[in-house]
This record gives sequence, structure tokens and C-alpha cells, in this order.
Amino acid sequence: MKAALTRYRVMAYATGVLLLLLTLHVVLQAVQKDPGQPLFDADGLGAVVPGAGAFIPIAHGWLYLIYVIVSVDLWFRTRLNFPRMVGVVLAGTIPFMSFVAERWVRHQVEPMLARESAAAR
Amino acid sequence: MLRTALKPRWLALLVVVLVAAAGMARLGQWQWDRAHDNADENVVARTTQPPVPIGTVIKARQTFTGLAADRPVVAVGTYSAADQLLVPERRLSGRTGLWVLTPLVLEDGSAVGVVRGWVPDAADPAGAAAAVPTGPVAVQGVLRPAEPPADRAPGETSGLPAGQVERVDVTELIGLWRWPLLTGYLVLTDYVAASAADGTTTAVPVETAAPARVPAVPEGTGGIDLRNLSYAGQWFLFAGFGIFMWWRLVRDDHLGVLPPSGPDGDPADPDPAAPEPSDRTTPHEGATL
Repeated sequence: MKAALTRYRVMAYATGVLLLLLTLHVVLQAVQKDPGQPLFDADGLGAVVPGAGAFIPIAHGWLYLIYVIVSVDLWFRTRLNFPRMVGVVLAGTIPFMSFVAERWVRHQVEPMLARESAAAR
Repeated sequence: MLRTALKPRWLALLVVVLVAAAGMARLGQWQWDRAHDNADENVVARTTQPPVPIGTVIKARQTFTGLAADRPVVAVGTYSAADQLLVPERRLSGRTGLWVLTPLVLEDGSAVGVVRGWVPDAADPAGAAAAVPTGPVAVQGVLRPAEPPADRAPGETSGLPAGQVERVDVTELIGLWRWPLLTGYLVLTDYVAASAADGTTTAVPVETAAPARVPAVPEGTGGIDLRNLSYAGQWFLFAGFGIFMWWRLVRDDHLGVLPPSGPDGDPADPDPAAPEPSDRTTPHEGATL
């Protein structure tokens, strides 16, 4: 359970950071684009870091997939409130919210870990 | 296990999961199509318009407007085989070769460059002047704006052999060809039979060695779009994952390790491994959903 929590937390931070970069990227695209040009044609962060325009959306997509998998894995081990866990999974798609979700999950799971180790003693 | 799966609550959830999975699969299909469809949809729409006579769209020395771009037109005229040029470094289906660019002298005495096709090398017989159809022809093709001049220092030459140009650049072609030129060029899609106002007809020429036709819609430069392909894969995985989740929940119910459901369920059940006998012994428990 402890390892699952760690996996979840790592992925929550990774997805959160990538999503912030992706948001910044899209905002930059909106600023850069010429009138009439489709939004996603602009370079976005790719103008600052070459290749970032292609890398960030792909990386975020796959990281989010892993985030969902480790979230569900954590749920199978902890059986947190199911509707709330759905909220946690969806939080990974909203900027900043994965950090909030991570806090909630940590506050839920850490007492379980404490009980677990107390029972083992 | 099957009996557990047939409980109303799991059947209801299965319907929800399958609908969601179908939606995700559709989204995946959409991204898959996007990944393989690099051609600009606007270009596709413009190139599929019905062809019109070239004179109604653009005349020699007129500014090339956005309306003329990618417009299918029919141009009746005669090729000047002696003035044919080759344009190197052009790709077709992943291979690099040369475009065959032949001036078509129109009935009003002006001319337009026609990309008759693509040849793999300069020595290819289809790229030779002898292979150019003689006599009047009616060329159906797509109009493209002239390419910008090659970026070169003053006095610097392209270094290409005679009979080759780097770009389909009208400012350069003016120096090579002796007719008033249209400010764009034609990409040949087909020859058509046309009848002129004076009653003469133009037959479809018989080509002995024709260069490979260049597609009217330019081939995607980057091939498959990795981002869209990536998203497509993720949607399919999410769809599969939803079904897996359903199976996992049913299995847990079957094994009796499902936590108490509903908003009152204790999220911090200290002993999730403890079986809940009621779940196992009442097969119609799902009716209370």
C-alpha cells in the first residue's frame, strides 16, 4: 500500500507539472497565433524550447494514462470512497487540481498506513 | 462468477461502461483518422471543386489571389517541349526525384507552367522533351501559386545543370520562357477532351512515356502525426481499461471483497480483505441498488 501511494504521488506530481506546461503551451499558442490561423498551428512553447510543442502533449497524454492506472491500483489496495476516487482521476485533467487531489489522497491513505503498521506490530 | 456478473447492478454498470468504451473508441478512431490525415482539409475542399476554364480564374500577369489557389481548372493550349524544365529535390511517395515542368502556351498567347509529373531521375525518358504530347491539349489541373525565389546571395547560381530550376518561380521562369506568364503553375491531374468555341475539338493525348502524376493534394510532409496517433492509442487503452475495471469490480463482488457501496461507505475500511458474507449469500442483493 505504501509503494502504491508513492507511485500515485509521483504520478500526480508528474501529471500536474506536465499539465501546467501544456496549459502554458496552449496559452502561448493563443498569444502567438496570427489572426485567422488555427490555434494549434502556432509554435507555443516550441518557440522557446525546440521540440517542446510536439513533446509536451504526447508526454502528458501517456503520463495521464499511467496516472489513471496507478490511481486505480491505489484504489484497489485502499478502497477509498469510489465517487471521490473518480474525482481524483478526473482531477488529473484540470490544471492545479491534481495537486489538490494528491493532498486528499495522502490524508486518506496515511492513517491507513499507520493502522496497518500498528496492526503488524 | 457469471451469476454475479448478471446481477442488475453489474449489468447496469456494464451498459454504462460499454457506452463509455464505445465513445472512447470513437474518439480513438477520430484521432487515428486525424493522425493519418495530414492534408489540410481546406486544400482538399478546394481541390475537389468542379473545374472551370483557367481564364475565368486568372490571366497572365494578374496577381495570384487566394481564390485561385488549389482551384481545379482546365487550360487548353499547346506544350512547348523545347522549353521543358526539370525541378530537382521533389518528393513523391517517399522518394526524391524531379518535377517535369512544361510551359503550356494558351490560346491567348500567354503561357502557364504545368507540372506534368514526377520522374525518379533526370535521365528518365518520361522527363525528356520527346515525351511531351504534341498538338493542342486540354489540361485539367490544380492551380498553385508560384513558389518564392530561392534564397541566394547576389551572383550566386543554383549550380544546377542546364534545363533545371530550383523552384517553380515565375520571376525566374520569365527569363527562361518567352511568353507572358501566369503567376502560378498547374499541377496536371488529367487530360480531358475539350471543344473550343470555333468547333475544333481537343482529344486526350496518347502519352508514350508519362511521368508519374503529382497528387493534387500535397502529400503530408511529416507522415503520420505522432501526437494524434498517441492520443488514439490512449483512447483505445482507456476504453479497454473501463471494461477491465468493470470485470475487476464484478470479480471483487464475486469474491466478496467489495467494500460497502454508496456515499456512506467507510472509505477507510481497516480490513478490506474481510469477506462480506451477505454479498455472497444473497444473489439478488443487487436489487437494492
